[in-house]
Amino acid sequence: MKNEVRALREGHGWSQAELAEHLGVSRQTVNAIETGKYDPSLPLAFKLARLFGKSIEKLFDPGE
Amino acid sequence: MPILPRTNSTEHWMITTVVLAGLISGVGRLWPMVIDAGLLRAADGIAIALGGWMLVYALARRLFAKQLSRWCDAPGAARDRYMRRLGPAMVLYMITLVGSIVLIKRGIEPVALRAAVAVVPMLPIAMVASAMVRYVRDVDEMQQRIETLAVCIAALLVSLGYFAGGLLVAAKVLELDAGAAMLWVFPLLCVSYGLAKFFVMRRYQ
Repeated sequence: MKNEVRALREGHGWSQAELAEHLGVSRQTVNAIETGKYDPSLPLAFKLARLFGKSIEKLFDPGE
Repeated sequence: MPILPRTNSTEHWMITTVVLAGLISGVGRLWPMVIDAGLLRAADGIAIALGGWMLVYALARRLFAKQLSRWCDAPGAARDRYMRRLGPAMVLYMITLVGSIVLIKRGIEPVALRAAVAVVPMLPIAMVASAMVRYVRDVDEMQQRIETLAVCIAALLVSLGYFAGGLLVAAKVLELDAGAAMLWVFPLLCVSYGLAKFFVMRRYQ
């Protein structure tokens, strides 16, 4: 699934490790989400959306 | 370059065990009357096997630091808790295993006592299993998926291997010692899990 996580993270000036710490996950998980290799669960997606002040729909694009 | 965790408590325990095994081996060579022959063989085995494994691990750390740091990228607290519980359990396992082998080789007449002594090494392995379960509970959702998939693949591989082995033994193509084959289930599961985890993790990198 495509997403805006990398752009938003870089916009905040955070490293992957820093974002991982905010979310309580590993850096590897953040990397997998950013590259679209792992789709987060709803609770983690909500956490990301709240952290960046966006809606889930704005953050993730499921594509068609 | 990503920094790997510094020498952890498991490595401290392993170094201590290798040094102890080496000491027993050395004392046994110098004063053969002091150390039982079975214990001496066991100490040699531990020193060679564990020392060799540590050497390979140290080499791997140096050569594949980047890959290993990705592979070990669990949250610090979960990893540290796992390592704190794994080290003492593995050392206890070696001690109970050596003790159990030496005592059984010397001969224990009552069957119940012999059975109890024989299964004592299971206790530290149960501690390791409990630490593994706790670790999987503590890591994040993606890592739980990786761990679960790796354990499933490992269980399937080992089950299929043993099933094939059983069929070959039944067909008298192979001759296997059933007791030795059963002892290898857990180590094979651990090795298969490690390999499976390596390949599963590549999907998410």
